[in-house]
Amino acid sequence: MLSTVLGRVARKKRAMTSDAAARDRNVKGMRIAEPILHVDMDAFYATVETIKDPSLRGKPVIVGGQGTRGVVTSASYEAREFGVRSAMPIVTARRLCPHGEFISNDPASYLEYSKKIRRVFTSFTPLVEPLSLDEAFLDVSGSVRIFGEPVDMGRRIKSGIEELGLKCTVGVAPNKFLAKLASTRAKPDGLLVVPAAGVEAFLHPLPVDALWGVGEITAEALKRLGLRMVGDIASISRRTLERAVGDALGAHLHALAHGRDDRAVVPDEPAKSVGSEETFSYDLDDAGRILREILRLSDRTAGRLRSHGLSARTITLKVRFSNFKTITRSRTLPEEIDTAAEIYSVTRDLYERLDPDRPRIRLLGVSVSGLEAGPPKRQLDLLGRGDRRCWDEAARAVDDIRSRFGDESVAPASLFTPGDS
Amino acid sequence: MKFRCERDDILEAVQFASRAISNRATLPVLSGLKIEAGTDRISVASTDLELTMQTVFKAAVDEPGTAIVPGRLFGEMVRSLGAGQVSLARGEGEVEIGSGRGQFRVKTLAADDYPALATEDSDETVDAVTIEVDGSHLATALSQVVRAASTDESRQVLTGVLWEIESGSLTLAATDSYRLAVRNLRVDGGPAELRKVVLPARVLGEIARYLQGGAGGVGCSVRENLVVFTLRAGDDTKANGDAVIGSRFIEGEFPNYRQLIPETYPNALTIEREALIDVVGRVGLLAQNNMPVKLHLGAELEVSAHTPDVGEGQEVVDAEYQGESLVIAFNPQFLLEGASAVQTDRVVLEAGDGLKPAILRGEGQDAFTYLLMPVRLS
Repeated sequence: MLSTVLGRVARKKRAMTSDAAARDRNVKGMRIAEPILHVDMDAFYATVETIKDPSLRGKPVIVGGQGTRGVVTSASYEAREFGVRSAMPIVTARRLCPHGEFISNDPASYLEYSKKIRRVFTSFTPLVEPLSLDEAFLDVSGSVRIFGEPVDMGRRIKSGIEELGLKCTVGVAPNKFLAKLASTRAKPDGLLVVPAAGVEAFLHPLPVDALWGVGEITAEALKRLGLRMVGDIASISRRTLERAVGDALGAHLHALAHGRDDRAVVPDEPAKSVGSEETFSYDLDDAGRILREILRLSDRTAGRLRSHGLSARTITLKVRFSNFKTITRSRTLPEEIDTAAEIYSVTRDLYERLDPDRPRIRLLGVSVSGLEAGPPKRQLDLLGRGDRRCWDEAARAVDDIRSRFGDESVAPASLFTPGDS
Repeated sequence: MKFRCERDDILEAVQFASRAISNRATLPVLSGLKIEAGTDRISVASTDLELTMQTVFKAAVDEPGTAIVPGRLFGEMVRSLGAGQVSLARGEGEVEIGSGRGQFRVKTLAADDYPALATEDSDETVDAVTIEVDGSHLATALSQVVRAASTDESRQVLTGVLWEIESGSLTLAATDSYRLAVRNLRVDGGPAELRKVVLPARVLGEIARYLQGGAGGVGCSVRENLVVFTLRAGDDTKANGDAVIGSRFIEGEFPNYRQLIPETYPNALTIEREALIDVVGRVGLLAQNNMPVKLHLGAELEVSAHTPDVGEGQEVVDAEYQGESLVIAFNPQFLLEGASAVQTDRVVLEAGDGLKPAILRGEGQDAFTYLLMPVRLS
């Protein structure tokens, strides 16, 4: 936990010492004080479900895994009145809200609506940084001459989202940190502007855990120093803060408490492929070893694919020889797949068709593309033929084991060498 | 061999018999067509050793005899000849074809190399099992069942159709493992003890094709390793006589399909057949790249489909429904083929849940059953 926070802080520090282009956004002489928008959908999955089935409108809708170990992924505001929250076990939600409408996740629909939302965003600026399916930062400093003030764009984005049948909250602020904080405070269906001149008035009355990077432990440490509000942190010197919570975190909190955040909005395309490659410390020349490495990479790729809740139709094998000659071979299948066995059956065949003469291989890579949301659809078989269903179940079991005991806990038998325990 | 006949009569016979000539003949002589002149009729036949097709037509025979002509070339020649009388005579290693003012000579293949036709009577004919079926009934039954057979050669027995022959009853069954079509029909004759054979779907397709042209009865003679179908000409006044199709069995154990058919389901949707076909056809256009159509079974039937980056559609149609509302998804093609195979105006779709095979039947009839495995949704 702590290491994650420090990791973030370390990255943060580098960003701050670098030349901050975001600080002075000038568009042909026009300085935009609040160019960053944070748009966050309200009860996204639950609202998509009400679009699919309008009879759910106005009801407590709870979306999530419906099994005994399922968790709530989204709850409508009607359901939240009963105390239902995201990430809560579905069993708890059922107890709190027994008359709620419990609905299974439908990733394909959410992905589809996410794309529609993205199109609304990109109609205002190309600088869109998605944080998840239902949340994004936008830098609109380049668009004000066309669309007017950022707050006007915020309003137009809200009405564009409403046309899709969804609701969102928009934060408008000088930087990403404040924009996200603004949208969090304005939920649901809100629009909040933090003007550059009003940053301290907005920020200082907030509790310290409103600052990004402040979890329970840090909040407790700050409380011991009598620092409860953001304003308290802003009022002490950076040196004092650094002594209290460490140099990196201290510098980070000092900047945030003064409303400073120089991270740029980085446009990010959604993942188009998932894969894994490896450069070997010495060139591989043994056919059995090469196939085992391809299996290992196929297994790793399949695990990543499933952990993203995706399946894929195109499988690509990349081979770099010791002379740096690089070959890639792909195959697109009629149906999506998501298991190591299925990926390996393709990558092995692709490799065997390459049929290199006395290969010396420096790098191998396996990747999959043509991604679809959710596990593969399957035409079921009357005769119980084929072993695909078994592989599906085996893959889920492997995921469960790895999530409890780590990635190395279970692997295809051929990847174990004698002597491994 | 020497005879005279009408161009239309020989053309009809040649077009029928040529269908057993394989494009990839294993033996060169199998690319030939066997023409045999008897006392007053001509037999035309071909075989690829699995399938044999033979037919006869009346002609004025001057000299009985046999010739093996190159099938494709001869077929094209006969088709291109003008209407009217055609004469055929065998010379030394060739046949001479005369039509109007045209004279053609075509090299023949060695008659001695041509295999004996499976359709010809032999000793084993004696203990053959025979049944007699109405041609139009058989045509319907074949159209219902044959398309459910697999096209995947990796499991050969599924590329065939199971024939279960009993006294007075014939049951046809085919499955590609995603769906199963079963049709029962009444027949005359048949053995006291159940006889099962598996015949290639391709051969049965040829029979269905022939029967669609209008036919009388069909005789089936089940011998040791093949079935010989005699497709009786409905019309005695025509020059063209009975057609005979012989087919070898497909070896292998056909799955025990009866145990796949659930006894009963609590959920049953009854709907106009045309309405179902129309809505699945329309909505199914948006189920591309192996995407299924989703059926929401309830007081009404809602059909929906969605293909990312292509589009989506949904439509509601009236239906009668008994049971709990449920969602089940199918390959639209399989569903359409099942619905079109039903012969009644209304169809009944019975389902257990989204993962169990659904049953499609005509309302109030149980001679035809179409079992369809759903697509598991992600």
